[in-house]
Amino acid sequence: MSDLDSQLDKLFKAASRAPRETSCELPYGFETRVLAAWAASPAEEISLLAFFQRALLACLAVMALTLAYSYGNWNNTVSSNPLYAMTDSAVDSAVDISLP
Amino acid sequence: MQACVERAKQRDETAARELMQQLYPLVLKLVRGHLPRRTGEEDLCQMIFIKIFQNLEQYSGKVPVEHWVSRIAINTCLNQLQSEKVRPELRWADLSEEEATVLQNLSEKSDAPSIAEAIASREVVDKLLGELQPQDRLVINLMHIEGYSLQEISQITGWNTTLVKVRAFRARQRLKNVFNQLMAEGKL
Repeated sequence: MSDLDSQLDKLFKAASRAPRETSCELPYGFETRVLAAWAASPAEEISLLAFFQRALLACLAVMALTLAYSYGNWNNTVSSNPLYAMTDSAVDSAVDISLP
Repeated sequence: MQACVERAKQRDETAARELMQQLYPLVLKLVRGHLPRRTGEEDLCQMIFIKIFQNLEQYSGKVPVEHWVSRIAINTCLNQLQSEKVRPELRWADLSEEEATVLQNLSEKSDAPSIAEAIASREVVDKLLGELQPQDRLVINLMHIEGYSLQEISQITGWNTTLVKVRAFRARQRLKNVFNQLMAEGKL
């Protein structure tokens, strides 16, 4: 251990022996101030949380509607397209022929 | 204590007051050890307790309440310290007569220090620690002044023991540099 290290340790040791303030009593009105701040702030947090929850639900609902609409559109396109209809009919015929 | 927390979660004011009375000495001890220069002890304690109650719902009971509270207290102190500007470089001229004497006598073999010497030593250490980053200051204080073990520091801060070891080593190196510069100045 270097000289510097030992001097530093000696300083720490001496510092740790310094008397501390021992008063641990709650200051006057402390509890009331904390409780008042607690009562005031969580309401805001809860409403913010509720707002985000509602926003998330609304987003999910919009997503579901969009998906349903897109699926419906795609389905209509597939069934109304003559090319798809011809292919379907050819496949159906082939299946009918191959089946006994 | 656990029952008290559960009752406080249900917004029971009596339980909240009881919790504050039980936890105040612990919070005060941590605040006094890591008090930022420009924040009052009472203001910081109040800030910590408000945070504790605001986050009470998140307390799962997996760790003792004291550890959970210690982490909130220490993080609040660290945030407060980080918001403060860095103190200008510590010079020998910044030391009081008693503080300078303490440093000059360090190389001499002496018995237990007197109360006055211990207080002056604590003030020198505070000034030296003021030159470090908040996390370095915290780890040095907990390890060398408060005398906590690696495991205890890990529980209080939430850092793993390897991180505590690394931070303690680096913080000590930085402190040694500041101390060395100060001592060199004192010898001139």
